[in-house]
Amino acid sequence: MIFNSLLFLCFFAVVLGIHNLPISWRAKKLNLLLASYLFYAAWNPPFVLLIWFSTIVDWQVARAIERAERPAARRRLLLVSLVTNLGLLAFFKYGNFALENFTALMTGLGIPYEPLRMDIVLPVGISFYTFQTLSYTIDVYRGQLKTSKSFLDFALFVTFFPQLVAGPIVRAAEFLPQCLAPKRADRAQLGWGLTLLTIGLFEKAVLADRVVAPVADLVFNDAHNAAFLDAWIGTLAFSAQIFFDFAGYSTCAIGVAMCLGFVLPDNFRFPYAAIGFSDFWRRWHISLSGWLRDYLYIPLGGNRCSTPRIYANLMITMLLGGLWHGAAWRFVAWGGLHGAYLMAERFLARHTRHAQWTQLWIARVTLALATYALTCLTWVFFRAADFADAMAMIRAMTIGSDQNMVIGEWDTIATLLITAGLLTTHWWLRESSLEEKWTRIGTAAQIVLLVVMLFSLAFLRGDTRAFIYFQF
Amino acid sequence: MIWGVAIGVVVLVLGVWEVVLRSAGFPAEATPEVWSIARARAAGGVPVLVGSSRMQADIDLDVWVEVTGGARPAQLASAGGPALPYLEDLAADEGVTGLVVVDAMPFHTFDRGGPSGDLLPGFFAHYERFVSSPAVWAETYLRRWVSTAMVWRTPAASWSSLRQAQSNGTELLFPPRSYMRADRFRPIDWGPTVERVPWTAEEGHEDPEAIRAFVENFGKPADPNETAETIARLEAAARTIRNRGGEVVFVAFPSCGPRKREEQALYPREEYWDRLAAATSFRTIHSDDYPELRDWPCYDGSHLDQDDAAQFTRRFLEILGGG
Repeated sequence: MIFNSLLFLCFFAVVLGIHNLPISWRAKKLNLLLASYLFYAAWNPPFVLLIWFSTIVDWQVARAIERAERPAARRRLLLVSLVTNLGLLAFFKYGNFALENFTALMTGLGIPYEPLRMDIVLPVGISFYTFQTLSYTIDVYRGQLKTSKSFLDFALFVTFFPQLVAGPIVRAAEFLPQCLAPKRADRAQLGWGLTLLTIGLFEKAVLADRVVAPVADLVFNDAHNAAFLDAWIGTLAFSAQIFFDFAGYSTCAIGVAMCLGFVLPDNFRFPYAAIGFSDFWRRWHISLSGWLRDYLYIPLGGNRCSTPRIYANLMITMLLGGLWHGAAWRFVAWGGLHGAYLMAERFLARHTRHAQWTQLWIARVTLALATYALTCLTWVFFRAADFADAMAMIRAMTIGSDQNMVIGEWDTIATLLITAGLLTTHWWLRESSLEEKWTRIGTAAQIVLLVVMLFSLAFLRGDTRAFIYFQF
Repeated sequence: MIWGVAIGVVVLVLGVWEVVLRSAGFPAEATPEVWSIARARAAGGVPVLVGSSRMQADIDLDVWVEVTGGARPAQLASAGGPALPYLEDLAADEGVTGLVVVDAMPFHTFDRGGPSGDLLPGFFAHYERFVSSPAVWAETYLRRWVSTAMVWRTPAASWSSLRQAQSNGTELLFPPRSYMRADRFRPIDWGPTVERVPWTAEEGHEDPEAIRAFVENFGKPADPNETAETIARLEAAARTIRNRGGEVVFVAFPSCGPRKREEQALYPREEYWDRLAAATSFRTIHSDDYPELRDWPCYDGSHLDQDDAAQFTRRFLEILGGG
């Protein structure tokens, strides 16, 4: 089920209605749990079994870890959780990828090998809930978290429908305490939750799907024939699309959860106003970068080791972060580029740490624009169908091509306006929050904005597309 | 309060817009996804209609039900829909065991490189998700219900359509001549203002410019080898349906005026239709061979007016039933 569907609106109305009935807190949580399974099963019923399996394994393993006294036993139990969760992820997400690469390797070595093609369907959201359950077990293993006393609460933590399939990746320490006392949104929370849902749907259905996605598709679907301006406009369009699509989903998820009285962490903080790439990753997909930092980068040694080792840690983390997004080398390249940017930034920062000019307004804007431009280059690898297409786009963006432009005047203007608006808005909101600005604009402006967004959703929505991050 | 006002404004404006559109004669139109609902019905043994927009516009499903007293046909035809992919899809489905009427007019059946069938991959992909995902199944039915209940959601009243009308300098609130009903029948109201093209005017005359435009729009005709292969595949797919108790009839719907001349120039009957009729073991009905299917008021060259479609369907069913 996707947020931008009539089915979800009906489903959510029913769930919200039951949640506000005068019934026990336990019954309300059961309602949310059943709704979450229904939400997931609506896509492909058999895959609910995977979530149940993952839930039961991590529930049992975490309790056993807490009971175990010997470190070796605790390590073995942690290994059970890691192998189970990452094994499922590896099979469903990377099975075909591994087989293709093994076949290519064998062929390269001159060994004829033709494996049977595995017809594996990727369960939607598996990367998200796998990381979520893993964080619980690891936190218990590290002694940073007490196990939950309620299986119902734990199962709800794993499957809570607003963020089940595309995040934010919530930590148990953030969610489980919210299950202890009855939750019901007051009028202000309900209003803000619905506002966030509307903003998120507007970002997804209107800005992403209606305005910029067709432009990005037009260019990337015929990347080898892209003219210089086509390539740039197409890439800018995709930069906007991926933000509106993914941030739109996160905003919807946070809004839906808030309507139910739950608070989910921010996942985006105006990333296109980032100054540098460490700042970018504190603003883009925050729940994933936090997860990678806590469970991969720091265990590797983080930045408390030799300089070459720090660079290696950065690169390993970003390469694996890239691979997390998709089973294809272009995602690894995307992560590798970000790793290289982070390394370069770290190197440069050592020499400019005390430079006064970096604090000048104009320098900060320039650095933010440079960060955005370099980020756009990485999106080419993220969006292109394969490496050949990505390289064709990069060539067109750098040395140009003799092709005629295919993007029309209206689409060009719309993309440039959207990009300018996006960058300006992010810069304006950079040091504040959406809620803070929303509160400040006053009631009349709020009503006007809501009416505009609702009308746009009624009249200007694009083709219904699944959220891009569902495939991860 | 904020939400109350915002929703009040939106509901009020949409309500007024709905009334305005209905008063102007705009119909509510089913969404394209209803193809999957019709396709699912096709697997239930009901009569199935496949092919192009001529099938969609010329066969009135209400009349079909009234005359036959049987089930409403599953209308799977679509604009530019070619016969072969449809028939092969149905042949691969064990549930298709009834009558399949195939609009096999040559210029969508035997063309090469034209846009025929552009909609099909999308239809097939959606149907695959429709039968495997409860969410897609439920969403499709919900959308059908909403789209056929609320006129303001019709594509003809969409922002793009209104913008197009404005840039063309045409009347802004001019209701569409045709719309798709929930059962996928597409009645056309040509109205009194459309000039009728003379039925028999200049039969056989070739206008090079018109022919060039036709090829650009619909693709080049296939060569004899490709034609033979298409006929063989149509026959094989039809036999598969017959082997499990079904039956297939190939039909060429009426065309007229310049469109008929272009078709005849590019797809001479003897090279395409007659070859199919001679090669197949299934019944073929060409509208030119039956006076009762031939002489209709002709508007755009290939689609009947909704009133004529009702009469045409009765006569077609008489011929179909008469064997």
